[in-house]
Amino acid sequence: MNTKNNYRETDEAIRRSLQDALPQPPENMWFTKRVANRLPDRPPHLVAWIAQRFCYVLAAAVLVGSLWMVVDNLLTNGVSMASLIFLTFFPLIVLCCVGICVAPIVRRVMAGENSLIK
Amino acid sequence: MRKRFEEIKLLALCMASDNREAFSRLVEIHQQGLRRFLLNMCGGDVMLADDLAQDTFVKAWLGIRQFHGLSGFRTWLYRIAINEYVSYRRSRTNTVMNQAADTSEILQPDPYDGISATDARMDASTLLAGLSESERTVALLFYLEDMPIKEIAKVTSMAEGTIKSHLSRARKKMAKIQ
Repeated sequence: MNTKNNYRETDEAIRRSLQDALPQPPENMWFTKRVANRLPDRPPHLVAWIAQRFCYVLAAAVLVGSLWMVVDNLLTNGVSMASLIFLTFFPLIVLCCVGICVAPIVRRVMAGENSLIK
Repeated sequence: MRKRFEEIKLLALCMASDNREAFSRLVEIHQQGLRRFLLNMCGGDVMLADDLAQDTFVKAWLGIRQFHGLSGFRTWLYRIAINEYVSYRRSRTNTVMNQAADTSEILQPDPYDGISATDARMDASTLLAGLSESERTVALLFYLEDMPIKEIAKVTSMAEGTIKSHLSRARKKMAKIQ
C-alpha cells in the first residue's frame, strides 16, 4: 500500500514537472485548413457505387414505364378516371426519379467538394 | 459523454458521406494534443512535429472506413502518429547511413542531441533524454497525455506488462534526476 502511494506521489510529481516544463505547440490557426487542403478524394465504396447505378437504372425504368402506362391508357380509354389518376401521380413519380439522380450531386455540393459530377 | 457523442456523430458523417467539414472538426478537437505529443517526441522541432501531425491526419482520413470503433478515435490516431514517427526515424537513419557509407562512423540521429533550453525545460528535456525511445513514448503518453495503461497498450501495440516495465524504468530514471 505504501509502495502504491509512493508511486502515485512520484507519478504526480513527474506529471507536474513534465506538463509545466515541456514545450507546448505554438498556436497555429492555419493547421486545420492545411490538413483540409491536403485531404485527397476517397474512392467510393464498390457496393455504394453499384447501388447508386442500380437506383439510376431503376429510376429511369420507372419513369419510362409510367410514361408508357399514361400514354397507353390515354390512347386506349381516352380521358377516363384511371388516366386522370395516372396523370395526377405522374409528376410525383417524375420528381422522385429526378430526386434519386440529383441527390448525390446535391450531397457533394453541400459537403463542400469541388467536382459536381463524379 | 457529450464529447464522445459528438465524436461518434462526426465519425459517422466522415465514414458515410466523406464529409470534410466533419473531419476538420475532428482535426480541431485532436490537433493540440497530437502536436504536443509529436513535438516532444521530435525534441522540440515544431516544423517536423507539424508535418508529422498533418501526415497523421491525412492517413486517418484515408483509412477512416477501416476504423471499427473498437478503440477510441484518439487511440487510433495516436497509433498512426507513432507509426509516422517511426517511419520518419527509419528513413532518416537510412539516409544518414547511405551518406556515411564511406566512413566507419554511422550516426544515429536522436532528436534529443544538443538540446539547449531554459532551466525548467532543461530539467524536463534531461528527464526525457535519459530514456530509451520506448520509455520516452510510454512516459509521454502516460504523463503528458494522461492516457491509461490499457489505452497506451493499444496505441503502442505492446503488452500491458511491457508498458508497466517501461513506466517503472522511466519512473526510476526520472525520479533519480529530480
